Amino acid sequence: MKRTLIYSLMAGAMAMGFSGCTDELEISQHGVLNYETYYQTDEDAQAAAAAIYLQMRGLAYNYLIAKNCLTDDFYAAGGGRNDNADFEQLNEFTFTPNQNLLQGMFESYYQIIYKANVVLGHVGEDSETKLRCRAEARVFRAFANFELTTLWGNPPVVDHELNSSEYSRPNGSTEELWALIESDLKEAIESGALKSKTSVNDKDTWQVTKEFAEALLGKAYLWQGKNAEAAAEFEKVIGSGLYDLYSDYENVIQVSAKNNCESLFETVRVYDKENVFDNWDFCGAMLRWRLDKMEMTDEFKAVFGTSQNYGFLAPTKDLYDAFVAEEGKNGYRLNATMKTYDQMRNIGMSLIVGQSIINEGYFMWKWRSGIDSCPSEGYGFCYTNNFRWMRLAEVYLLAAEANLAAGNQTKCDEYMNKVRTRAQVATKSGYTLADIQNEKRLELCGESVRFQDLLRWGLAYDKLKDNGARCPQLQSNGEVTYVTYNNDVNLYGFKKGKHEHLPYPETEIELNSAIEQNPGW
Amino acid sequence: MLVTTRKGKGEGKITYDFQLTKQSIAKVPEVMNAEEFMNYYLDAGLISKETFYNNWDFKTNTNWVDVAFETSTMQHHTLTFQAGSDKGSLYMSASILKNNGIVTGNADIYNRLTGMLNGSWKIKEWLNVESNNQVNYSKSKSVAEGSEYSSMLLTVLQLDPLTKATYTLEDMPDNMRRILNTTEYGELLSDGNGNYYGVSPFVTMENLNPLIMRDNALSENRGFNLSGSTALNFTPIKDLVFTSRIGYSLSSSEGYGVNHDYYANDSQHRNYVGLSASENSSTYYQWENFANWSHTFGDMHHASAMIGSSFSESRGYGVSGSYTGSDDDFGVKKDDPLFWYFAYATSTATKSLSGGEPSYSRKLAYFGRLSYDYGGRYLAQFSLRADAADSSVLPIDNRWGYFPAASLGWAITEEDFMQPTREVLDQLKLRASWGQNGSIASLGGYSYANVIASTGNYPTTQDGDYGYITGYAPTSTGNDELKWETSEQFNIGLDARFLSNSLSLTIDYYKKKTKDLIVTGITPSTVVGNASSPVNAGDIENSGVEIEIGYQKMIGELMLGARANMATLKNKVTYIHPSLKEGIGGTSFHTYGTITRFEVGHPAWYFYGYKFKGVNKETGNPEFYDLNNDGTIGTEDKTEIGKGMADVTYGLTLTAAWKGIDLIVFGTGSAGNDIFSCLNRSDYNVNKLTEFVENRWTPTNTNGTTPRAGANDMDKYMISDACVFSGNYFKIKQIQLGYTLPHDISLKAKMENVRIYCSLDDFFTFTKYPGFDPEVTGVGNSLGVDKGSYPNSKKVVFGLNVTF
Repeated sequence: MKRTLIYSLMAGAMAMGFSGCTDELEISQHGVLNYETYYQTDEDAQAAAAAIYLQMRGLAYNYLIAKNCLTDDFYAAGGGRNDNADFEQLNEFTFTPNQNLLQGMFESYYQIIYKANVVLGHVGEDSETKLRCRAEARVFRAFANFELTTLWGNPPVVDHELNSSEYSRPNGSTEELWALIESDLKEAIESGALKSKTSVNDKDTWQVTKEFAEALLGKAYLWQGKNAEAAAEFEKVIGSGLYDLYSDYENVIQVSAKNNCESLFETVRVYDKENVFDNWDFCGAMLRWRLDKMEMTDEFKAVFGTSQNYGFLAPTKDLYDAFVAEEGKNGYRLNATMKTYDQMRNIGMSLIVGQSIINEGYFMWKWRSGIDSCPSEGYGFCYTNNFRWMRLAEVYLLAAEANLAAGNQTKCDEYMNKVRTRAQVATKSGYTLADIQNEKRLELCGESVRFQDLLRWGLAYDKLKDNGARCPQLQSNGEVTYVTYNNDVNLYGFKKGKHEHLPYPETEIELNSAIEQNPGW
Repeated sequence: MLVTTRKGKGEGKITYDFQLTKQSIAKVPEVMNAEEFMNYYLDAGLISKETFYNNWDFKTNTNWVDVAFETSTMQHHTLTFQAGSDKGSLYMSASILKNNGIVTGNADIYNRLTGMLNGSWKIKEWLNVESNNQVNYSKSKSVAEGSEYSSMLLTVLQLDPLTKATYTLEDMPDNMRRILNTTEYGELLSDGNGNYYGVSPFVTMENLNPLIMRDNALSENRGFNLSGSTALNFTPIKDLVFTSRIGYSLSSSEGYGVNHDYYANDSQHRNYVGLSASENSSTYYQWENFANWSHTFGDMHHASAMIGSSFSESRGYGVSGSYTGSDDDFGVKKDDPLFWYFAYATSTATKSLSGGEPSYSRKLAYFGRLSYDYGGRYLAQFSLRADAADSSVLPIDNRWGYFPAASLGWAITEEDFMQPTREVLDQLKLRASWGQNGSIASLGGYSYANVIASTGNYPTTQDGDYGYITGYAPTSTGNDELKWETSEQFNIGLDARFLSNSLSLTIDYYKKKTKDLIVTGITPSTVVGNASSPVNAGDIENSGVEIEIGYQKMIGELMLGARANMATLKNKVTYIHPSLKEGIGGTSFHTYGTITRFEVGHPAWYFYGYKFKGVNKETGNPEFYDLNNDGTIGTEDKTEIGKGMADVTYGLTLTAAWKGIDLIVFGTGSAGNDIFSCLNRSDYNVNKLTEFVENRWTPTNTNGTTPRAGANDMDKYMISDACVFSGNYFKIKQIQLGYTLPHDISLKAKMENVRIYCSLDDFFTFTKYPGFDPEVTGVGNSLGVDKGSYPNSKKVVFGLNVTF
């Protein structure tokens, strides 16, 4: 009897040990959705498109800092020499393919393309919303490819989600890339699915619009020298009547004028106290003036706060002089764009005696940010202003250039004068390309367009060859001295045969055996 | 899981062990003193003469190591009771450990109470029960280490020696006085006696005055853990034993943290308080059932067989939250430690909550083993196990891994024909084995799955009432083919003993091939546009020889012994997944790029960087080898510049005993490995290791071997072999001298055995490495990379051991 009892006990124990366990190995994952079955509803489609908007918004930091460092309008600046040496390398053309901002920008463009490809590959065409999301994905993909093509020349073409056998992508051809950009934009525009603003004062439309797509298409044509086509596209935007120059230039990119009548596309940030870190953005902190080296009046502090100010991107005297030459020291647009050190002292900020900063005596005012765009809950790392990707002034200046090149001087003059009127600069007629180039430098300084323009106009070498020759140091008494860090003229400044294209990031070269580096790198 | 448990033995015994340890920082890298610091930065032109004149008294020369570290004490008491008989055994112990680490003050402490109760009893002829249990309670505080951005160890190297550790109100410099009179920057921290922690006017970076770093935040952890196993062993018939065993671990830990308002420099300050608290509990159990049969046929044939299964589950559950102030909200109602709890946070403080979500991991395994031996002369064994991972780890289709193993042995000295040599050769045994093992590395969290998850919230209004759309996108590219990583090992060896067991020798040769290595966090190409899921990316081959020799000799009453061991290791990556054929990047250093790499034909995670050619005699800038001869130094000129893995590791133990005195000297070392020193940085004006600056290029020292102050291309220099050092070292881990009282004396005091000892642990290190401890660097893909890990301290130990 006893034996039987023991055996049955054992058998029971063994059986329990052996049975029923594989089911226990199924553990369901929380908080995620199934890739195979997602992308069915309108809501899914919008969520997939929203992921592209978020990606685009996240791009702004690298986009703004890198592209403005690569100009003759700014010094990298910051807390001192070697503070974010990455910025200095860009600014002085001493960077290598291992450049964090360029790598970040490059990766962001492909992440935008990936997310657009996900939408195009999975979202159906069976509703208005889905068609709109698809069209938006095409606009973003075209935007990313435009940037990649104009900056890198022949980046890999990625027009679908890659599977693991396709990871090593060779360079694309520039023609193929332009064709993809044009066809994406045309399809998006012709789909009729993209939104348009409801009126010139519509501040609520937050999506990319048909007009933004048309402006991008115009830009793509202009870059390819298809001037008449370009002019026609810009004409559609201008002719839509949905945009107007914002009268108050001083605030055109300020938090107080989000989505104003001039904006073609902004990525949105809001002040939401409970979710401030949804708006994490280091950009604001990096660009704010270097206040830790300043003495400030209480009035000044009340407006601009004191936390997390890193003082990068200080305007050059060359830029200031260009303004003065065009509109004089008291020019409306100059004063709305930047302030001299003396003006800043009057406003309530001056260097502590004994402190000095990298600065040539000028402080950006147009993109100033105070506590109104920098909620204290975000410790200075959150920035609630929208990022402006394109505004009507740029469209006018692109249109002026396209019309001039297409032989339509009248249109060119008309658009130039629109911009100059708002800037309170004298109007005239018979503008030349050089006039347009100068106007664009002033009107859009700090708005991330100049480097690609200089490359296109063939002026990059002339304007950028001396970047890095010297570095200004502003003393508390307003005196500017210069320090030379780069001794060898062969090692700084724009170099012909090399800097016409950005280098493919070192990581990509290391990982992708099919890609070829750009010449000179 | 193999756990050695302590079992009671023999007649009742009571033992008391006591250990007192004095510990201090062992090896400190040499950095520039105040004057050298000034000269360096004047040479570099990065700090102006005026700044030095305004901010240095030309006397201060702070040694931050002395500020940050001190000699501290550790105490360990253990009391044990044990007894055993043929019916069963009992083992009971209690111990207290109190350790105050080497950081000045009470910032790194570890206190632990442990109790243990192990027992077994043969309650029936056919049933033996056994239970082993341990419970401990611990309390700890710690400081930051091991990151180039926030390590107390790096701080003491990088802060300038011109700033004092503390200042009084009277001698406080302007850059600190300015903060005293404002509120917007936060508070100057002090020791409470009017000594304010110094703020450097020269160095602003993440690594702060170590005293500020220590005191600007409080982080305490407490927890208890109950673990053990309980088993039933049935013996229904002779030779057959069924075992059912349940292993368990129940633990709970709580964390409590306060981030104070503080000012450390212009980019590191805070004028409000943050509170955080967390509570986590985890449960684990493993249930194993197996049957073991063994039988001897005749005199010589002995066979056994085992079959069984195992199932385990671990569950984690916790909640954590925080309240944080902001520039215009102090966060708590009063700046008083009695108010530093959630209940007294301001109503406007930012709240965050996380957790409340259980996580599980489960494993299932079946296993079996057959073994046979013939008179202890010929031995053979075969085993097979099947392991299954749960769906958070591997895709369902690949969840099972099957791992066989086999071994053979031949005890030659058991053969009749070896009898004549027995006098010299006591034992000679040949062994050979082959087996496979499975690993799922650190997989978990459904990393193989291609799923859709939130990427954030995008606002659809400009202001006011917040409308958002949540963005959803695939989290990664997914990998349905992910499977077990397998390592296959072949081993052949011999054991020998000579001269009445006084000389012993063990030699092994092994070859281990790791297949389908699981690599996580890789990027196959940035144009893919999404993170890659883990892949079975490559094969690694390791081979080596392990030798151990021991010798013991009695000369009169003097017993001498020596034991030496040595292991060689050759490591090479032999295959890599085609989508990653260019290699996989590992750890990186600041923004200078990846410094370790996994690539075919190289050791796993070898150091990757530029080859430093020397300093240009004219400019003082560093120059590098242009390996592809294209006239410029670029990515393609990076190459293998070292490896973290040692070619040889070795150990040596010497023992001597004479009457009641015993002595042991024990040391270990390694050779052939390199260390990548990440203790410098070139982007801020920080102090530097003397090694890198003392023979630098200057206009008058154009033969200098390191670049001039403020040289170009320092970002390449930092990831060149100029920063790679030989990691060869030999460390005497222990010199212990003990004395056991003569038996008759201890018996008079009613004690069976009394031994006292003292020992120097980790005291002497022989190495050329200029950093901290060559024995302590990163692990995994940062093996051999030194980012300022907490070094082993050197210790003086006094111990007492009494048995009643």
